[in-house]
Amino acid sequence: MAKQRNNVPPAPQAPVRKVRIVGTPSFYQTMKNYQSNVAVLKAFREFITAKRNDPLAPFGSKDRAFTGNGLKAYKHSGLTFDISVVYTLSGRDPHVIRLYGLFSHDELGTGNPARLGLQKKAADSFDRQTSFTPLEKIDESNRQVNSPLLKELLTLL
Amino acid sequence: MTHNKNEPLTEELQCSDEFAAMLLEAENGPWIEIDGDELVAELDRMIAVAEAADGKATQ
Repeated sequence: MAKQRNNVPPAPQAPVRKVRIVGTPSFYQTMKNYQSNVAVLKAFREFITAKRNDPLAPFGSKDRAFTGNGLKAYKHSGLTFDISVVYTLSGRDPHVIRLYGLFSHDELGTGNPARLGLQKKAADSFDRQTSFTPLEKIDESNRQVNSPLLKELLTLL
Repeated sequence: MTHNKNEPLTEELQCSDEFAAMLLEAENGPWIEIDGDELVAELDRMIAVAEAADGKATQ
């Protein structure tokens, strides 16, 4: 722990990576679809920030799991009136957020009754997934820190 | 449960078969890890670009 210097408050701890984020290729594609939509981008930024701070807390009043047989592991969180982010949350210390993409109501097909067989198949596949294995291990020692303030704080540790 | 688009999202939703199939396919990967700080920084950049474009559009 850093020693407290005169007239200098103790440096806060560097942020612990308690949340890891992964995305599918479809996530990146859907991001491109909304790259000009300020409202969606801002809401999604708030979503990411909130989940990094407290992954277990719901984001606003529209952070729910899908109903229907077998898809309860998948969550959708409303960003704007029409657009939601679909994700899953798993693991603990760190938590892992898997981002599937940003989707409108039409794309989600909400309101259409889903056949139980297909949803059960989706559930079975999800249940067979092993624990998260990152494709790229994060090398904290070489982590690039862009914030000047954070850089300064880290030097005090 | 059907969803009335004129009403705010307050109820849990079912998705379509097609969307459920997409989720199933996505589970096969690949999964690409994202640095949270970089994601936020990139979103900030995208927001700035989008707002600048909106500003030009209203001129």
